[in-house]
Amino acid sequence: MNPSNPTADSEPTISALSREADQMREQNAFLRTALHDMRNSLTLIIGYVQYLKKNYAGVLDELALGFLDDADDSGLKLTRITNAVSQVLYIQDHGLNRVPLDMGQIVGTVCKRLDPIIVERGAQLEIPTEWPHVLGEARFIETVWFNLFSNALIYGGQSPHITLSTTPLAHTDPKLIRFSMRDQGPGLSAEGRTLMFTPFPRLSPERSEALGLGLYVARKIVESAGGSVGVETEPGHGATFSFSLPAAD
Amino acid sequence: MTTDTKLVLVVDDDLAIQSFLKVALMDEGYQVMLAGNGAVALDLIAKTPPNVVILDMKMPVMDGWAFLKVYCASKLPTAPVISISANVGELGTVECASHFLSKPFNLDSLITLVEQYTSQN
Repeated sequence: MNPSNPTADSEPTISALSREADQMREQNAFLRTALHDMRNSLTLIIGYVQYLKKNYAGVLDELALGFLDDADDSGLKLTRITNAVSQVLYIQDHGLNRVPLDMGQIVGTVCKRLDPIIVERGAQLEIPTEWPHVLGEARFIETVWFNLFSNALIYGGQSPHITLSTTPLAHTDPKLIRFSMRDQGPGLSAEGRTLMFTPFPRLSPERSEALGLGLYVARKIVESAGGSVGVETEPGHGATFSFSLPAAD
Repeated sequence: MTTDTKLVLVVDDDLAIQSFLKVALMDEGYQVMLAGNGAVALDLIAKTPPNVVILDMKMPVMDGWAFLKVYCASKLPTAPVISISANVGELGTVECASHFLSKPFNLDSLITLVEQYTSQN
């Protein structure tokens, strides 16, 4: 250790930090370009599959149409993956705007987008009629709700009952508001709780419908907005996923 | 082209996407013009005004933003512009465009938008 500067050997120098930042910028630029090209290619793959389904349905047999449906689904799944990566990169590069949100409208939009799945799963929703005023960027907070809702609809059990609620958090500076989503599904093990909100692989075969990235993206968005995410659960007793955002007043 | 055939201008530097959109739109009964960048698009619009413009944002020579800056400030007949982009970060930041779709888009959604905008002019 350098006796004149006890931290010199253990702390990174300014030039090392600068080099690291340059490497990160270069890596993100590479990822952005790769994502852009992937999305252009996906436009053609998905586009032609949808074109064939639309214009050639009469001359294709059921098996062939089934293949096209599978190709379409895979294209959409890849699109969701590129969306997730793009959003995380965007947040890293630009951060989030913090402006007052109309949370009722955001949740309403998400419910509308998910309506076909809500109907298909026979889900019951309990949604507050009034929402506290918080700060964030609407299009990203919509993603947070969308990903949490998707998770609850898929893993919330048969005919999932999903309850939304809000609570001001005590003793936080700045003041934070917590938004919670409770489901009545099978809940999570201790290992499951640890892996939630991380970009690691899916937890079990029962969770194979999800991409495993949605909750990680939600965490990155919420943390960038100045809040945090969490989950309270016990196996067999459902799960409550929550996130907090800074209060607007 | 009959007098009531609507004209769509597709502006995209990706030739494969140009071809795809041309096929898909012509099957729906539209006449289609193609441009590989914003500058070519402005020339075409000055000669043959389209009913709607489908505009990619990231292009060489003149990109979508530069095109919109000129197009929206000009006295050219301003047909509605549907912006399409493969860059998710651009979502919601396109001024003056009538609508924004991210790539990859749903074909039915694009055709519905084209129908909606061409029926207005």
